[in-house]
Amino acid sequence: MNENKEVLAEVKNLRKSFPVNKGMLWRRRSGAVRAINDVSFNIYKGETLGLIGESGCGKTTLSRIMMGLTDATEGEVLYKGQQVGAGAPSAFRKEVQMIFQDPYSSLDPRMNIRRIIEEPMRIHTKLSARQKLDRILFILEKIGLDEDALERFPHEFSGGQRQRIGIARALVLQPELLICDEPVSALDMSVQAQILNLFKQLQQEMKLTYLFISHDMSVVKHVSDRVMVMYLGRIMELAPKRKLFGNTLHPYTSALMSAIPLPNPELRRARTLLEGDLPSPLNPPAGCPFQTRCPKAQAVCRTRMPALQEAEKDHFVACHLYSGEAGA
Amino acid sequence: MNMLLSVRNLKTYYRSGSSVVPAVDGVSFHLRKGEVLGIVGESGCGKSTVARSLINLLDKSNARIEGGEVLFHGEDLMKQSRKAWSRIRGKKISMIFQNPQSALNPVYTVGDQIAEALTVHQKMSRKEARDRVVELLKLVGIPEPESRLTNYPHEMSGGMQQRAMIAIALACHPEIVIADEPTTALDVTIQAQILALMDRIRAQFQMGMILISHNMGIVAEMCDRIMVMYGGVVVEEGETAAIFAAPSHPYTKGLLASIPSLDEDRDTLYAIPGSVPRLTAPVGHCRFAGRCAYAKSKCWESEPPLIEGENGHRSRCWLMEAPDRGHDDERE
Repeated sequence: MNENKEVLAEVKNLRKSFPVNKGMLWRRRSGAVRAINDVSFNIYKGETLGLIGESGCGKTTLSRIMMGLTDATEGEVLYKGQQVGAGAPSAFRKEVQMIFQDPYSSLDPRMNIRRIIEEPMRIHTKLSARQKLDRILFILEKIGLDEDALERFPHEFSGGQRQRIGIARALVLQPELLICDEPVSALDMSVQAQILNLFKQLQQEMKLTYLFISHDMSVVKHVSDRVMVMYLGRIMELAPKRKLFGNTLHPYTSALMSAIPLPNPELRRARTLLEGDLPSPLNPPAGCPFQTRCPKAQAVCRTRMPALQEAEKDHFVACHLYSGEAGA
Repeated sequence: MNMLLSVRNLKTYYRSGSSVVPAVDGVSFHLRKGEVLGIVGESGCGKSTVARSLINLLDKSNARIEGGEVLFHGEDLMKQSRKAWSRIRGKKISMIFQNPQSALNPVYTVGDQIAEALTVHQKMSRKEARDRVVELLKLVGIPEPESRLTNYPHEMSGGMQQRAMIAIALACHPEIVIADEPTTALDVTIQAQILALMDRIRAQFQMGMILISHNMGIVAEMCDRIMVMYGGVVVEEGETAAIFAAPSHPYTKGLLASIPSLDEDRDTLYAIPGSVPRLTAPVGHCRFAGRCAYAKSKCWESEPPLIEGENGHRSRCWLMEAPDRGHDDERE
């Protein structure tokens, strides 16, 4: 289904490690955290790619690299065929925008809403004041705020309204790709649904492509076309939504799904509880990173990392159970 | 009927500048032995203030309990002295806080902090306390408890820290544990472990538990009864199964409909319009009226009481009022 789709962004063999230093006076390099470890995937135009994972899985580092805010250690990110990073063309900076998790810290408290939404245009365009105002008003209407919001300051708005302002700031340059890092996890339940609906509506109206990062499976399932599951810097499973949720292959994805409390008391289930904690990314286990907690781990999992391979059409999984190497 | 705690018409107000915020405005409920009562609601609905009022941990500089009584073994907790409270808090009623990273003291070892909970309330030698701490750490599922004793909180993962917090709460075999968003700071797989642990321990010691959460899934899974709070009052309460099968308050209905579901596909979610209002006391109307699709003039004229419905649960909504039935007020 993806053959005829246009690739918007391409991530190739991406690695990122952060040095870890020890000592107060003579700082010595003592190791490295491998935040991203050999990650490759595509984002197709017009789709929503959901990215799910627990803390430390590398989802935020990945979003920062894709934005060109951090450089990769190895590998590359291509946007419309051109490399992203220091010195990336300004078209990239305009067309790829980000929506942040915390609507309280991501808006400057001393700027009014007009200046907040205007700022990207001051940097990237040569529009006249009149044109800028027209665009601001157009965007405000799209995201569901009134014109009288313009002269007000962030503290006068609720969490949901602030997140709308953050979305307006990202949209005002008419971007193609939006990277959304946990955009609804700081919001109240009743407001979360409003913002999720807004994301869907804007996608249709403005032909947007989303990389949508969240730790909440049900949110990711609701918004995504394809879903990617990460664990300790690696992709464990990547598939169209219906396949990932209908025919889950990786034991980690199954465990994640089974861990979610469902709002239906009749479905109190026997869960497969994962034992133990997430391993430290400073000292990841040998072989498959999930082998220390995996209920189906075998000898080969402790020595070799399984490659991400296409187990079924469009359904990629990194697990020895499907590589033909695990003993029966 | 093994009543542990009964709260009547609890009111806790915050002073904020010149206005008074009715954070908890007439909340009544009871808790039986071995029962799990869930309090759900969004931020600002008053659920944490209820917990802090029950255990006398309010910030006295701006919060005041304006009225109500909390009966525990026939005594009104609201009338206890500071000294009496120090014998109740942590011993008979204890609390599990939301964020173990800020609730644990960073400069003491975990073992010392659990031992403190023991020695403050009971006469105990160092050796006895140490043995008991090891026992508690085992109970909450911390591996190699003897070596973990000397760990500082920063040497533990979030899940392990929360287990240590649970050990502190359980140290004196309390009769009631209040858990305020105990898993909000944790990853889902760790959350599932902690919830399973809390469920096991509650059954083992037959404690009463008040579980506060904003997550409908968690209360559905853990609780026997649920209170839904909005704007400082209980808007709906009843058995868990009944509330999820047939919610009657428009707010509860809206909340349940707005959660993205794992088993079905919907293109758009139902969204409750607007956001949580900031109220000032006194409130003379239904607190949800401004966001409610069914609001009528009566809802703006007077605040509905909790009205008993056909399905056995109670709901603070004029829609529940059958034409032939009188007003049964909840304050008998």
